[in-house]
Amino acid sequence: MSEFIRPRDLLASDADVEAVLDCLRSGWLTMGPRTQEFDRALAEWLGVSHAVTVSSATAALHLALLAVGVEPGDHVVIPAVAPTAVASAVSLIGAQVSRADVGGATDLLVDVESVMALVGQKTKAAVVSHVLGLVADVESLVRACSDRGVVVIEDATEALGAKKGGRCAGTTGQAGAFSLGPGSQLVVGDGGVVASSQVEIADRARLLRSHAMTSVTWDRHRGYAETYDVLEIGFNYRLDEVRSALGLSRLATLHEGLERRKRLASALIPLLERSESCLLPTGLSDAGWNPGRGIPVLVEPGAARCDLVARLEPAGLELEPYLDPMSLEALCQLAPGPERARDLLRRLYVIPFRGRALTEPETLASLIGEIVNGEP
Amino acid sequence: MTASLGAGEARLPQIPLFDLVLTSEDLDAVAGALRAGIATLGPRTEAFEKAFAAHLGVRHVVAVSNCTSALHLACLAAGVGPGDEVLVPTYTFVATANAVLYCGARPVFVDSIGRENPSVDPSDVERKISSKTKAVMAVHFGGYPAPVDALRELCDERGVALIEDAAHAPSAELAGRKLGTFGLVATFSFFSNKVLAVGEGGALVTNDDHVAALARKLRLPWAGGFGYVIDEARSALALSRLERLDRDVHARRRVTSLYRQRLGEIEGIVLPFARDEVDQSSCYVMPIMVRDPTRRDPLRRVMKESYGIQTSLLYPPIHLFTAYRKRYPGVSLPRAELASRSEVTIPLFPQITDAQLDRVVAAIAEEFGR
Repeated sequence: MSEFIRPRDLLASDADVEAVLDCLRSGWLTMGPRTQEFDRALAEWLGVSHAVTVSSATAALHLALLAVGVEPGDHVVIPAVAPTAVASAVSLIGAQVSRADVGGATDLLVDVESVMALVGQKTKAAVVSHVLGLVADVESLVRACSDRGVVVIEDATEALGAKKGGRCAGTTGQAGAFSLGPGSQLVVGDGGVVASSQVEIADRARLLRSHAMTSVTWDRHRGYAETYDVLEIGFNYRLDEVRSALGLSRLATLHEGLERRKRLASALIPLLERSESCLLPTGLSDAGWNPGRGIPVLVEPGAARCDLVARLEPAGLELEPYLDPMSLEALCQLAPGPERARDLLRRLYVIPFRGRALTEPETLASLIGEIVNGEP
Repeated sequence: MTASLGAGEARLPQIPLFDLVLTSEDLDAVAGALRAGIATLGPRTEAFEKAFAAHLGVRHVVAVSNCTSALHLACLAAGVGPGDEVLVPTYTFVATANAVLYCGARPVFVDSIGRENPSVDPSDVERKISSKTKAVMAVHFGGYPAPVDALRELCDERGVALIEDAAHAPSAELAGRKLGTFGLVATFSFFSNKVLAVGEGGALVTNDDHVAALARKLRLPWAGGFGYVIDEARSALALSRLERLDRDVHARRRVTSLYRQRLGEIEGIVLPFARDEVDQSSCYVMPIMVRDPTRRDPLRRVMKESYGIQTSLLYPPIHLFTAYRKRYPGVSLPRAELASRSEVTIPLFPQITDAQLDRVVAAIAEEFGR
């Protein structure tokens, strides 16, 4: 692969680079003032009381589950169509997982009735995933779950900045998990965020992200703490100062970046709608949809898919499966899930927003136009 | 241009415990990674893994998000699972034992040799090894070699895996062989105060192809992995700093030897490890043991308040933490407990000046009335 068409998940501006170098020059690289500020700024941006930055999206999901009280032996319902990190996070705790069906043949989002049908005595939580920036109906799920004493966690790892009714995805359930890793809307390298409006949940996530220690290195460095106790079995899910500096800098232009992605998507969708190579999932015309990784398309395995792949690949715009075969296998091993969702996952691909898609959106548009119009 | 620690609020104490000095090459490397635009699992991570493997003389390095992730993967790769026991030194950072619990296994705590050598005691390992033991963990405390040669022999005899927690010990050696190459698998830390600091970061190293393959799979954020990848910017910084690692370690050894010469005659303290071990150590920290533990806190107070010297405590024993007392009550490991009550970590970093070192020595000498 040449340098030119190498996938680019992170377009750092001069200001971003300068923010990182400033942090490196300060000599303090872990859990200090920049991380505190990034947590605060993210909460403000999301419109939620608390945001806790962590090392990855999986870490965010894991801590969100732990912070709401999921324990080994509990049962958790997750969507059948979701990033594999959701299932991995549940299994890290030692809880049982079931996968609930989607709403329809072209619907990527989980169906509330299917979730409730899987709720049993041991069900502690239900996870709802905002797949590829499409916002699920969290309010209905919260209503249904609250009657059954089940906690709702939002997997917004593919939906930072997506909205429903003016409210950011990931801020309605008891806890929300976001990604700051590759393919997300705000890439800092690798990273994640736990958001919650409840101080107890945020405090617990904060405690567990740094080994449940009663003080952090930064406090001890400043002479605020002499020694420490370890209260529970925690983790090292800390983000460092360098990534917080980058995140803070990029947060300033996040809105702009999201708008650019939406414009790109709205230019491409009418073309794709005319295509015989693919089918578009439900919901792409919703105003609140905000693509991060790219545009979801449903393709039949076979010639049509090959056509799309063959035309996009040479331009560095490779059509990628939503879940690679290894991930699909790992997921189905954990919980087989309904047949309809398995079929959907086999057909779900993404036209990724990276590389030339972001630097030369016109190229992507004209290329897709050519494919759709059957031009050679 | 050299960027030195602690602009503004980060330089509160006059003599900090550690100081991280990054060069213009380090900054250029990070800027280059950001401009290249690949977030994770790119050419810089691969290059760092190759370079660190060559440095250690080991087949595989798998760079990960931090040393805790590396320890988790190391335990899984050693086959640790529910119902198993893993022998863990109590006198170390809590992550070493947590990694065992992440696998659903039970950590069985092992005592230290003593204040003169806080490393794990092989005879206590031998006493506690049982049919349930799946692995033995050794920590190279402060960058000084744990008795991994003896432990290796014992582990081989008993058919259990040896896991080296080499978080403190990049570039340290035992009998001419790099630490981290004695067991089935070893882990390193690149945390901000470590010898090869990048912020958060770690690595798993092994000569075993299967261990490496499993770690590479399980670090992924998809396919059933745990999302333990490191990003390209941190790999770039690690690669850049690796070039100066030997020079940094050499400087740390020089400072440690000076400390030992100057502090050796003070009656009230014990200097752990032997003088001839300094040249094998990465000299991550300078621990001293106060003979009468009741005088430790007064010493720290004088150092801080009268001399502006930052000190630290390394570590509270894991079995005494609330989280562990709740799970495993009644554990008593007297030698590690005494070492922990006696220990003070004094400033050590490659760029410490002679004047700073004089001041640290003077503070300790004053307290003990030399």
